[in-house]
Amino acid sequence: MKKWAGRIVQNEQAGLLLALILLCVVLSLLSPVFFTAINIKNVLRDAALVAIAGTGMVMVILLGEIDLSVGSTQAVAGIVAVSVLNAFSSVVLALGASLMLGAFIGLLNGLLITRAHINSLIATLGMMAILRGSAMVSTGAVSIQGAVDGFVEVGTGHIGPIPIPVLIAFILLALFFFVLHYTTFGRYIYAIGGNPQAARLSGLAVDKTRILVFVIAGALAALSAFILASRLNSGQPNAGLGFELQVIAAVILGGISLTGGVGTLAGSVIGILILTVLSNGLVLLNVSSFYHDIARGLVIILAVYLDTRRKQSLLRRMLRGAQ
Amino acid sequence: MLKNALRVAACALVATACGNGQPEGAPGALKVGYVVNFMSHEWYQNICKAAQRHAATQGVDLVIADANMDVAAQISKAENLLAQGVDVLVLTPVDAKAMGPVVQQAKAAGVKVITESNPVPGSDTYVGIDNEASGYKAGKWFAQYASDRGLNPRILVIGFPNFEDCRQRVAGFKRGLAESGIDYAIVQEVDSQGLKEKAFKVAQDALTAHPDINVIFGINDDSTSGGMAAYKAAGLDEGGLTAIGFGFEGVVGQTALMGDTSYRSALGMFPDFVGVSLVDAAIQLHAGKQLPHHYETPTIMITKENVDQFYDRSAQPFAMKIDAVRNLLP
Repeated sequence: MKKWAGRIVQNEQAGLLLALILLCVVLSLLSPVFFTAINIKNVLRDAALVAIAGTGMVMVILLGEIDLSVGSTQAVAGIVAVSVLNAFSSVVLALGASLMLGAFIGLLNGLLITRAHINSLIATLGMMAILRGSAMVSTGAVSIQGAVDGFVEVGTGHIGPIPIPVLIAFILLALFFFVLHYTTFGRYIYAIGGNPQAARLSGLAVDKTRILVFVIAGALAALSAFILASRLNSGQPNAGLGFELQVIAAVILGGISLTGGVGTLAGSVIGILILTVLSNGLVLLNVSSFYHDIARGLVIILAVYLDTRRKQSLLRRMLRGAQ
Repeated sequence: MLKNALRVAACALVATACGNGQPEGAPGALKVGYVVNFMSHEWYQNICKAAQRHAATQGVDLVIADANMDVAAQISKAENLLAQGVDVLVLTPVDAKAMGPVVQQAKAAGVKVITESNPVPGSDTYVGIDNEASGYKAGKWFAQYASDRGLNPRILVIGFPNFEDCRQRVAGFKRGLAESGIDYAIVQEVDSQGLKEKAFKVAQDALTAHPDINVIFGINDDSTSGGMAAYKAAGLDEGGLTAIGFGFEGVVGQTALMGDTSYRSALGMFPDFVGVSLVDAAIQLHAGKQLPHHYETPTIMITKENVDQFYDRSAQPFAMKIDAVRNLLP
């Protein structure tokens, strides 16, 4: 029994999971609709968008880099998706075009960082502005409506009882969980993020890995854009404003270290769920929107503080054990 | 090779940047400088386009600069325009409280100042709709609509409370409802920040908490259409919904109104007319005429029945019939 409890406490995600459960319990007590099938579906559907883009962000931050262009990619890729959709009346072509664009944006980010040696914060900050501007210029700042039947199914449809975006997110999370923990590529990411110098000296393909991670992150951001566009049946030039910060906050909350090399995908999923449940609950409880940001900020700081304390006490106990 | 290409591009950028600032046109023409707060919004684009067209027909030199929601940028661009010797300065304030000094500076230089949408102390007039009165119109219209059909309104308000203008729209809407004496309930008020994406998300949660909502009032067309999309996604019966928009400024509202949707009416704000009025007001001020403190532009509830009176639907987006709108003025 004691051993079992100890294992839970020592588990990376235990503190966060507890916070998530506590939040859900409190909201269930306060709102009769929180714990209903419809609302759970809503929460998961919202979380799916963040999780899809967040999976890319996890890998980027594990490398010790950052990607600020995710939100703007959402705008540009959504616009391209709807334009291609309307031009060719094909959902598949639209998906292909937006994924290609996202991957290309990621490639540019990767090349700027590895070849031009521009810090990723700066490179993707620049890319963020360029993409947002392009979204505005190409549409004249007016949203484009989708004109093909069946397109909205991707974002709003179900397979069985499960919303399609949730299914997509689940499959991707499983895939990248495997990639991060059971492939050489995944181990490279941790190794490079942990100590890039050592990784390079050990002969790891540091730059290639970096570029590939940014390409994947770009494509995943574009996939989230495609789903969002489908949900709204339109390409919005102002889509994804501030989305990058939402993703980064959730991922960091999930225990991914900004300095790279530390954290897990599972932790980030919990982080994403905490923030999504929180904003869902505040609307259900009819809390004035001015308090939403305050609540989000407090939760992020509190969760990370608790997590840090727990890790420190674990470390102390381990050191004492070693003596 | 790459370096050369970059150098050429940089030179071209510098050249265009410098070339844009100077007002062109006939010497002696009235020079008007306009610093708009947020050009990338459809609403302001419509204002700017209409103002530019009208300025061309009136022989007015109009230079437009974009502050892009940055107060400091707005002030420095206004100062640049003053340095270029404009006769009238037009501002859509990013923050009305921060505009005082630049308005004083303009007055000291003998330049007339017009503000759009918000009054600023010291300016000669401000052009724009009366948000509270327009919201009131929407409230009154809906109360009539509801009592004609015997509805029991359970209302979701999708607002943008950070903005004074949007708060006033909601306040006016509530006043209109309250004065009508009908039975109604505002079930919830949510914040969309004026974006369809956010409106969808918050409306979805509100509809989960209150599936009995049967009326959506949004402070702009994106808010209303985002709410409608959430209603549809929630699998609720759209036939039972009444959606009311605000603005009717572009394709979003126009498609929704003419299509087979629950979008019943929108408060038409006629951005084109605001653009025309800015130029007209500038001409009148320059001619030495005194203008009222508030140079009000008209609004009216647009429905399927009266849309043809104010818009030519053969154009995409619909073209405003300027004289019909002018006739709405008292």
